[in-house]
Formats: sequence, C-alpha cells, structure tokens
Amino acid sequence: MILSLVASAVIQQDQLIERPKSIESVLKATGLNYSVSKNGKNYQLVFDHKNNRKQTVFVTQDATKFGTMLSFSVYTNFWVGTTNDPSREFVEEILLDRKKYGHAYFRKNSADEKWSGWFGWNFIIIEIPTELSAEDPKVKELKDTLYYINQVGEEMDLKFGGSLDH
Amino acid sequence: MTCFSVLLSIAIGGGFPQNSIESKLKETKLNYKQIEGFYQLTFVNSEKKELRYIYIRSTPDSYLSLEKFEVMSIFLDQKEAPKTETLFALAKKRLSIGSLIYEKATPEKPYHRYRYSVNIDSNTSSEALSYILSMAYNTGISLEKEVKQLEGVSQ
Repeated sequence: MILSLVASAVIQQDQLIERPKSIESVLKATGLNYSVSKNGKNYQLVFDHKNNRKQTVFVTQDATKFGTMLSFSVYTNFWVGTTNDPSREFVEEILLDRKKYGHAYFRKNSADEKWSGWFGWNFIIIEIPTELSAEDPKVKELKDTLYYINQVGEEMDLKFGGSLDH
Repeated sequence: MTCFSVLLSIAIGGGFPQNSIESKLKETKLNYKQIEGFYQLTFVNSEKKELRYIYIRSTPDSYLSLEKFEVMSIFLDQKEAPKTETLFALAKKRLSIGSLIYEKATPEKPYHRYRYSVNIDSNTSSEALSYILSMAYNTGISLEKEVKQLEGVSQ
C-alpha cells in the first residue's frame, strides 16, 4: 500500500471541492426546516429548546474529498467571549469535556477579534442515491447527526455559555 | 514518492468474523490483532524503520440510528503538560475530517496524550476503511510534527 498517496486530515485548500448539489437533496429529504446562512456558505437549522432557547446547527455546503468520500462539517456555536484570550483553565475544561463523537474547538473572529466556542463533527457520504426518502440510511444519518450536534450544542451552551443563548 | 510497507503482524485467531467491522477489516487484507477493546493495526515505515499503531474500537458508540466505531492514531504521549500556546493552537486547530483529542495526565495515566480520532460506520466499505486507516496514519504523523514543533521538542 502506498500510504503517501493518501491525504492527511490536516486541512489543505486544494482538497476543498466545488459545492455539490447533492447535500441539499439529502437535507431536504430529512423533512427538517432549513435555510441558507447569512454568509451563503452553509445551510442552517434552528432547533427549539425549553425556556424559549434555540440552538442553530450549520452544515457546510462545500465538502472536502477524501478518496471516494465527501466530508461535510456539521457544527454549532455554544459560547461567545470577548477579544481577551480565554483562560487556560477554561480552554482545557472544554477540550477535556469529551463527547462520544466530534469535538469542541475555538475560533477568533477576524472581523471583531472575539473568541467563540464551537462543537462540530463530520457527515461523510460516498454516493447519493438517485431516489431519496426519509428512510434512506444516509438521510437518517444526516438527520440524527443534526439532532446530535443540536443536543451537544445546547448542553454545552447551558454549561459554558452562561445566561446567553448561542 | 515514498513507499511504505504495512507490517502484516499477528492475525487474529481462527473462526469467522465476530462483527461486521471485523469482516470489513479482514477484507482490507491488512493484518491486525485484537487487544482488549480494540483492533490494533501495525504500520511500518520501512525507510525510517518506524512503527506506528492505529486502533479501531471493537465496540461502537451509539446515538439514535448512529452506530460508529472510533479509529484512532495516538501520536504523542508526553510527561509535561502542553504549553499554553500549544493548548490554544490545538483548541483552534481545524481538521477537514476527524478530531484532534488531548487527554490530560491522571494518576493512573501519568502522561499527556494527543491522538487523532475519526469515526466510521460498520457498513464502511473495505476500500474506504483502508483509506481511513491510512489517512489516520498520515494525519498522526502530520500532527505529531506540529505538536512537537509547538512544544519545542526535537523531531
């Protein structure tokens, strides 16, 4: 096996591929309400929670190609900080708060320089069936992945997000 | 281009596959052994004479209809806690697939562990499984270099 021909998951721009139309057809088949995000790069779904809380889950429109696989990011925001760096203890606490799938990460917004905390995972698909129904395994997988990210996001939002609803 | 050979190590004892992930693993023709809770694959860089393990959990994690097995590449165990700069760099690190996991040292496990983790379905094809295992191997190497560089550890 020639392992050097296989990509590393460390992001390389040339791995980003053109937006396949297919992911929207899978999303549509879930029967969930979705819209295009403000920046036009993601689909977004808003889930309702107790006390009028909401959790927004994003699905990237662009995919990264690995061999025959297409990987889409599914992610949500659970915390927004200030322009000051969060404490080491806070970062460590979040990184060590492991979930069964996916991981938490931080971003520093290039526009307002504010820190934020996110949780994300991947939806991987090889081939989109020509006929899609809600019972198609990949449709169910995307739907349950969205539910999972929503649930983890809301839990982390309640735990780390303070009184704000992200 | 560098060619790597895969060490075909101890094959699991006879009998039929115990579950579908094992049957897919058998189809890859990669040799592996079963250890407690994991299938362990040994990759060898024959030029560097370097050996590296990739693990697949033998029991999946479930959520609703999801049932995923974790594939992991443990790429660094270190006695010292990461520098704050390293921790922040790891916290901001984005991978196009999978996760970079940091585990803090504990009294039972007195070292800080860094690993790459990605999930697969039990119905993943053997071709896709081979690809993911190789990707985990290559990603582990890339991340190890990056973390060691951040930590100022010699490569």
